[in-house]
Amino acid sequence: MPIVVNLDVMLAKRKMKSKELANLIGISTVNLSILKQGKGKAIRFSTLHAICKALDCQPGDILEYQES
Amino acid sequence: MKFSEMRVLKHILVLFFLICLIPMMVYYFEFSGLDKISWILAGLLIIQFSFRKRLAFKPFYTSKLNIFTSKYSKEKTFDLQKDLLFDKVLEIVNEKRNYHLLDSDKETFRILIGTSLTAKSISENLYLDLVEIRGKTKIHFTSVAFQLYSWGKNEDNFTEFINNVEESFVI
Repeated sequence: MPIVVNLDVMLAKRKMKSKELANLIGISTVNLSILKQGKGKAIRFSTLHAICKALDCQPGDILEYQES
Repeated sequence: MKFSEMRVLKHILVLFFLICLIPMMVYYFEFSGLDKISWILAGLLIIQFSFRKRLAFKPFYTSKLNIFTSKYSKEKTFDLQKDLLFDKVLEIVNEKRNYHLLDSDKETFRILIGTSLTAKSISENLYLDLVEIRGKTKIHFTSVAFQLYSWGKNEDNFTEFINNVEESFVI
C-alpha cells in the first residue's frame, strides 16, 4: 500500500512501548499491532487524534505517502 | 431468478415438505409410535447438545454421517499473521453479544464459537481453523446447526462473521 504507517518510528523517538500507547489511547494491543503493520483498512479521526495527542506529533509524522 | 429468491423458494419448499410430513407420520406410525419417535429425537438432541462446547468433538458434528446437523463450510484469506488474527477473532467474540467463546486452542489455532438463539435456529457452532500461508492467514469456517435444515442460518453466519472481521480492521 502506498500509505506507510510510521508509528514504530514515532514510538522509538518518544521511547514509548506499544502497550503503553495502546493503554493511553484506549485501543487494544492487537489493533495497535495491525495499525503498525499497515494492515488496517482505515483509521478513525478519533484514533488519529488520540495517537497525535499521546505522542505529541502531527498526523503527517505517523502517515506517509510513498509511491510504489 | 435471483440467488436470494431461489433461497427463499428452497425454504418454502422445505416448509411445505415438513407440513406434509406430520400427517404422513401420524397415518403410518399412529400416535403411540409418534410418541416413541419424539422421545428418540429428544434423546438425540440432548446428546447433540451435550458435547457441543468442546473442539475435540468437531469431527462428530461436522461428519457427513451425522444427519442431525446441517453444515456449511467456506474459506476466507486475510492479509495478517496467524497469531494476530487469532487474537483479533477472540477480541471480536468478546465484543459481540451474539457470539460466545466455547473453546479455543492457540497451539493448533482453532476456535469454537457459539451463536445465540434466533427464530431460525436454537444455536450454531462456528468452527474456525486458522492456517498461515506465505504471511497471509486462511480461515476455514464451518457453521454447524443442530437441526436437519438450517434455513440459511449457516450461510448467514459466514457472511456476518466475515463482515465483523472486516469491520474490525477500521481502527
